[in-house]
Amino acid sequence: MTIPSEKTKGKVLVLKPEGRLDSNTIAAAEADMFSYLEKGETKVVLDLSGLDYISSSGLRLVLMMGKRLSLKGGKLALCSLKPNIREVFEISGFISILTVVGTRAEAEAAVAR
Amino acid sequence: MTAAGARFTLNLPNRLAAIGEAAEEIERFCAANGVPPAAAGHLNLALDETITNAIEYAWPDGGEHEVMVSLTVADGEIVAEVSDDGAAFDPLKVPPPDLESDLEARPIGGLGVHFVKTLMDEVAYRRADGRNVLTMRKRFGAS
Repeated sequence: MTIPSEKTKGKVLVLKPEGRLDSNTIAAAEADMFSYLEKGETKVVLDLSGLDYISSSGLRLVLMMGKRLSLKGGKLALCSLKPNIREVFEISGFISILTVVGTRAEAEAAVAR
Repeated sequence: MTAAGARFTLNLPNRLAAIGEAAEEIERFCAANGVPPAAAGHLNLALDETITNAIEYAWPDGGEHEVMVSLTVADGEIVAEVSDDGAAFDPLKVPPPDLESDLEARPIGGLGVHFVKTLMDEVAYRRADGRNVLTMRKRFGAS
């Protein structure tokens, strides 16, 4: 999976994974996401408006991204979660340890500070 | 109208790609038998986690194997049984993840089984005839 991405004027990298982040799609998604981190991105937004399904594999990837960015003094924010996706973040407790907001504008603002 | 005791069995090859395909069939079976979408979604996630663990850990020597999934809907409850002939593994013995630690301290892993236990009303494991058998149940009221 090549995750669609765009860079904003404020130098925020917005990634928009589509469909499923599960055990099957995660290897490709991981390679993709970490190549962005290796390029030195430190302000990353995950726009999840196109994400229909996430399992523990996907959550682990998001967590790893968050940890790696944090270690580099960077920031990660997630936005536009569908209700079933939000529920998974809540059950896992991830909603409390990651920055999860409603809109993309809020997410860009959250990582830009 | 819900058919009493509607049943559905799938034999999945031990390839991760098969899980997403099976999810669609399972969704259709649930919809056709009165299982509300939210409950069907929880079931599919619990099945995904269980089948993923089987595929990743049950056959250390590799090779082609099958994971069997059977579903029964009756009396406002869906019962799913996932079984495989791999190495003995009781997922219910996996320690729960630490849900309290912050981002830096949070260990990675342990979540899949946590979802199964949280999303399903009952989960039980047994080893029988050289197979791991995980049975999970979810009740659903009127949607």
